This record gives sequence, structure tokens and C-alpha cells, in this order.
Amino acid sequence: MKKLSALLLCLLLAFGLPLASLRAAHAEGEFRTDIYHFNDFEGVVTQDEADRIDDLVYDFIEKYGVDLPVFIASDTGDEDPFDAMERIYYGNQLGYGSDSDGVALLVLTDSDEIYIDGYGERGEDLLELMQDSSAMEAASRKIYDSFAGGDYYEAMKAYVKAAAEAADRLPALADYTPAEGYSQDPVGSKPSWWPSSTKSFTEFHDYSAPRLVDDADMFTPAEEKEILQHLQQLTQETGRDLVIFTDTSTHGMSARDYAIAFHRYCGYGFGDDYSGSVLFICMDPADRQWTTQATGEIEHYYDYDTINKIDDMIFDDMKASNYKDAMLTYVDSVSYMYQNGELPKPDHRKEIAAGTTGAGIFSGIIAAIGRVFGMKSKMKNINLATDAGRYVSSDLALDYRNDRFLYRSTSRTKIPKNTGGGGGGHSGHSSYSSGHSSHSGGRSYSGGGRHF
Amino acid sequence: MALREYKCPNCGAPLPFNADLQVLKCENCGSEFEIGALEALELADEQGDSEKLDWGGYYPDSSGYDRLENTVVYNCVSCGAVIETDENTVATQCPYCNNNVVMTERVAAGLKPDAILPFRFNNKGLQERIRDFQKDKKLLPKSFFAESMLSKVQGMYVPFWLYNADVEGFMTMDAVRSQSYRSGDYQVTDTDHFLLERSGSMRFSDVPVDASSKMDNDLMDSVEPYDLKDLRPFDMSYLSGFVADRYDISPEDERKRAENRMLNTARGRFRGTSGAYSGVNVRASDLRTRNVTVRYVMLPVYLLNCSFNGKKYRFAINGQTGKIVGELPTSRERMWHYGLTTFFCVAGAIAALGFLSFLF
Repeated sequence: MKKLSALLLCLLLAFGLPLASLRAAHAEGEFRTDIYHFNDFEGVVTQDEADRIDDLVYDFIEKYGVDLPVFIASDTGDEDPFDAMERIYYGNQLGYGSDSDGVALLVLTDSDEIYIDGYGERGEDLLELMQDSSAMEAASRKIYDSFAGGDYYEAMKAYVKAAAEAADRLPALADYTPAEGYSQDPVGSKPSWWPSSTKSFTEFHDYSAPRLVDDADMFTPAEEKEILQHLQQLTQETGRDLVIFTDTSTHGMSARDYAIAFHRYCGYGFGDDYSGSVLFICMDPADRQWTTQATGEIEHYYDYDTINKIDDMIFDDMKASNYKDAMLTYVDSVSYMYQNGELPKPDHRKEIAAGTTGAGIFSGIIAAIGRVFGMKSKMKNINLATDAGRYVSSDLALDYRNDRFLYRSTSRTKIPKNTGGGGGGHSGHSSYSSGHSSHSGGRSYSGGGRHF
Repeated sequence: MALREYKCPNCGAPLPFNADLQVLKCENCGSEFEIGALEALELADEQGDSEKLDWGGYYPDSSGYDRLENTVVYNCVSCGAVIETDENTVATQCPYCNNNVVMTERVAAGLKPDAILPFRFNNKGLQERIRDFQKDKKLLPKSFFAESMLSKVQGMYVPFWLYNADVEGFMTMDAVRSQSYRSGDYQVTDTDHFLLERSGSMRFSDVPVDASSKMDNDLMDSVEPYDLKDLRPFDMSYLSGFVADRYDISPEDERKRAENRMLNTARGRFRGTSGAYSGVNVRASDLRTRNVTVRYVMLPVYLLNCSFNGKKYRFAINGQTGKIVGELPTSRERMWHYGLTTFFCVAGAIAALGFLSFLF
């Protein structure tokens, strides 16, 4: 009875909460930057169980086009659990579709609490159905049993199953088809490099494949040559693989999956783990973006911070269509990172020089004007006297003094709420994702990107 | 009109008032005479030999003067030169022989001053003061205060009215006191409104207003303050060596200026009694002067008139404190010099900081 009340209380809390606002933020505290769709920070399940749950979640995503991230942590520190969940959700570009649809589950092992929230229209609709479902009630019971030593793996399976059952009852999700654009396969005509059969595809290395494939015609032949030189130099100096790929479309796939597919199906990567990275630039006029995806032994370089810093380095040039400069900066920075373990510090000398010059001129003018006017004010000291303060022989003596209270007036002003602003993927913040994609063939990719 | 020349009884040379020593000092033989000593000597001589009172050159008001509008003409008793003054001048110097002359009857004609504040320093002290005055006037053209100008400085006793008065009345003020706090989703501000009532009085003493229409009011106001504790009972001896005018604006006509100064100060004092409120506005006030008395005094001022680049400049120097007031010309070259120097220094310093940031 006690547990049922707690369960109902939790569900009540989840139902009563307002919509999460879009905020892009870096993860803190318990929430690390290597965010997958199933995130077990407490190690309550084994790695094998985690992989299987991850696959279940991915199958859910593929079928219904809605994200279902799970976080298991000890606590959220001083931060409100719903705020923390929202921050991680949007900060790591979780969710699918233009509305970042999804339902997120947070399990706190220290306080034995669960939190669940919906994002985007489809996510909220799904959450509403889940809360009404007996399957969800059963899943919640299993999670609570897990707190007391039960089986987290079974609880998670029950949770995903409950979500699927609710999704089946939601037409928008149940009728989800790849034609809506969230498919993991190309829509319409396939790119030339797409294998005739993905099912019978065999992994291979193609060391002679060009490391710059400019299907979007972003670069002139001379620029291509220069970029290729830098790419070759990177490989020679670091022994790592980097390929730059541009296209005018993602053929209905996510940029991430398109990049991963390209990397895999074209035989890029070194060694048994096909270690390497791909920078994919989509020049679709309606949705220009780039993404970096890395796999193998270099995958650990590409955490959220690194992705953000690299994207910051090239954002201004990309925005200004200085694509060659952006690519050279990108390649050289990645090469530096491989050799030194971290990205080069950004060179702000131009900005400092411009700022210093401007500040110097402005300050100099203000100081000069101030000094000259100060000197000028000393040149005239004639004023008509308006007071006789120095001639007071007997200061004011009051013979009557009264302060009479008249009335009180009160005003009330509503304090504006911070409705948040910005969104993931906009300038200033990169998206980030990590984990397997349906075409990764067992490989794990980490990376992120930005729209421009 | 009785003209009084101050001559050294020992050698007959001119006997001007020496501001440094506060005595009449002969510039020829160095003899020094306290104020009043000459009159005492003359009185003694009179008793002995009245023929020594040489009032030659005395021209009574009704004849001997050629009045040209507001000017009066007289003959210098020393050299016979014809000198014009205006009808208010009570002491002057003959421009030909520098003989110091005091028109005693004019002094007595209207009102004899109640007191006089003697000059505290002479020309030499004046030169030092002018040099000090120039020191921090960086935009002053170099040639402005040339030494030659200093000889044009004229020491003058300016007639002043000193007003004493009580100011009394009442004032009402609107005052508010606010406090803000947060209540739920609202910022709440409570404002309490008060009516402040004050009544009282204060006294002013010796509020000076110059009594000569020839003196610019703002110049005379700016040359304040004087330490009026040094006022002496009036004696014509003090005028010797200086130019002096008698008043030509009556105390009734100048009363308004004095009253305005007093009332402004009184208003400020009343308002200052409001206490701790976040906002105070004067709603109404009725302040009046009472028991107004006035004294007629002579206060010392050095005046310097000069021309520079076709423009006239006038300065006044407080004859007691040495305070110099006036409007000085500005050198354009110096403005540019200091402006550009400051600009390059500041811009250079910031550029250097920027360069250092490159290194570190």
C-alpha cells in the first residue's frame, strides 16, 4: 500500500509538471557527457544487460520515431530532478523530429524515486497514455522493487514494453513510417556509395578511398587539393584517419546516421575497429549542418566539450561561407589534438588587437576631452552668488515640527518568468550523441554537430 | 569740495597707505605714520598755526566744478592738472603726478562708511598671487599675464552693503517612504505618504552686496569671502593710495539681492529637516526677512583690465585674501597640445596592455 501510494505520488508529480523549456546546457554532476539512450551511471545492470536494453530502446525509437532515454543515477545534487532531466535532454540533443519528441525516465537510487517527463507534442501525448496504463504501473512497481534489491534489467524491460504498449495506442506513433522522414534508410534515390544490399554488406577497408568527397561542390579544385594535403599530413603525423564528406542532402536520414553510413559503407577507418572520424557537411539549403562522428580507439577524444570547441572554431567561417578556411582549421585542430591530447587554444589575437585598438582610441578621445574640458573649467570662476550659507550667524531653530502620516499606496508587479531560449544545435552549442546506430554494424560512434 | 592730500610731514612726498604694514608710509623718506596720527598732527598744527592748513585747490560743490553729465572736474592741488572723476569717486590718484587725493566732503556727502577693510598686501604681493594663479591654468596663452600688465592693476575700495536679517516662516513638504518585497510571483511596493510641517527662524549677518553700479555683480560676488572680523572703523587714511567710490545703489534697491540669498539658504535648511524619507518635495513655503539692518562698508579689491587678441578681460582680486576671479582666454594651441598628448598617452597605454596580453 505504501509503495502504491509512493508510485501514485510520483505519477502525480510527473503529470502535474509544466512542459520543459528548451535550454541547451552542458551536463554537470552525476550526469556525464557521454550520454546514450540508456545511461546507467550507478552500474545497476551489467554491460551486457545495458547493451540489450540499449537495443530495446533503439528498436522503440525506430518503430515509433520518439526517443525514450533512461537515466539511472544516485541523485541530482541541489538541482531539481526535472530541471536536471530537461537540461540533459536538450543539452545532448536527445529527442527525435523537429520537436525533439521523447519521454525520459530518471531513476534516483539514493532517494528511491523515479521521475518521468515528456518532451515535444508526441512525447507529451505518449506520457499521458503511459501514466494511464496498467503496464506502466507494473513497470513502476518493478522499478520500486529494484530499489529493494530487485532486478533492474527486468524493470527496464517492463518500462520499455509499457512505453511501446502506450505508443501503439497513439495513432501518431503507431502509424509512424519512414516516409515521415525519421527513417534510418535513405528516402527515395540512394547515394551512389550506398550498398545494393545492406543485409549482405561485409565490412572492408579502403585505404585508397579519397579522404575528401565533395559531392556538394563546396570547394574549388585548388581548395580541394589544399585540404587533401592537410588530411594526408594528419594521417602521416598521427596515424589516424579523417575523412571529410559533403552532400546536398541526407536523403531523409539523420545527419548522424548518414555520416556513419558513409564512413562504414565506403570502407573508411584503420585497424580492426575501423578507427577514424568523418566530418559530414550537409548543404541542404533548408537545413545546413555538419556533424562529426568518430569510432574506434579515437572515439574517446570526441566528448561533448571537444565537439563544442571544434564547432566553435569553425562556426564563424562556416557561417561566412569561408569553407576552405573552416576545413583547414578543423583538420589542423584535430591533428593537434591527436598529437597533444587536447585541442589548440583558440587564437583570439586578431580580436584582441581590434578590441584593444578600438578601446584605446575611444578611451584616448574620452580622456583627452575630459582633460581639456577640466582645464577649461578652471579658466572662468565667476558666478553670481545665490546663497548666503557662510553668513549664517544663528542656524535654523524649529519652533514647530510635525510629520503627519496621510495614507499608504501599494503596487504589485508580476515577476516575469524565464521562459528560456535558444535550442540545441544553434550557434553556440553543439548537438551531441553517442552509441550505436542501426547501420553501425556493431561499431559505436560518438560525435555531434551544429546547424549553420 | 574738500580735497585731502596725504603728504609726508617730514619731506612732503606723497604718503599712501601701505597694505603690508597697515600704516601710511612715505615712499621717499620711509617715515611711517599710524592711522589717525596725521590728523592728530594736523589738529595740533591747527591749534598752533591755522595757516598751515592748505586747502588750496578747494572748490565747493556749487562752483569750480564743470559737470559733464555724470563727471566732475577738479584741479590737482599738487600739479594743477585738470582731472575728471565721476560724482561718486571719493579717492583717486592724479594721473600726472600720482598725487593721492581723497575727496573728503564726498565721503561725508552721502553716508560715511561704517567700516573699512584695509588692503592686506601691496603690488608685490599681488604679483606673487597672480603668478600662483597662473600656475595651474595650463590653457592660458603664455603672454597673457605679462609683467607690464601688473602695473595696470588698480587697488580700489568698493562700497558694499552688509545686511543682517532674521528669516522666519514655515514650510510644508510632501514626503514618501517606500519598501519593496516579494510575495509569491509578485513584487510588492508599499508607499507611505506624509505631510511634513516645519516652522522656525534663523539669522544672517553681514551678507555682502556691492553698492556700486560700476562693478559687475557676479565679479563682486565671486571675489567673496572676506573675513569681516578685520573690519576697522572707517578712517580716510586708509583710502590714500587707492581709488575709492561711494555707493550709487541704495540699500533699499540692493535689499532684494541679499534677501534672495538668505531665503535660498533658509529654504535649503528647512528642507534639510525632513528626515529619512525616500522622496521629499516642497509643497508650500512662506519665508520672510525681519529685523533687517544694514551697514555701509568699503571692501578692498584690486582690479585689472586688459585686452588680449581684441577682447577685453576684467579680473578682480580680493584685497584681503588674494583670491583672483575672472575669465581667462584659452589658447587653442595649448588645447590641442594637451588633448593630443592625453590621447596618445592613454591610447598607447591600452595598446601596450593589449600587446602584453599577446605575450601572456
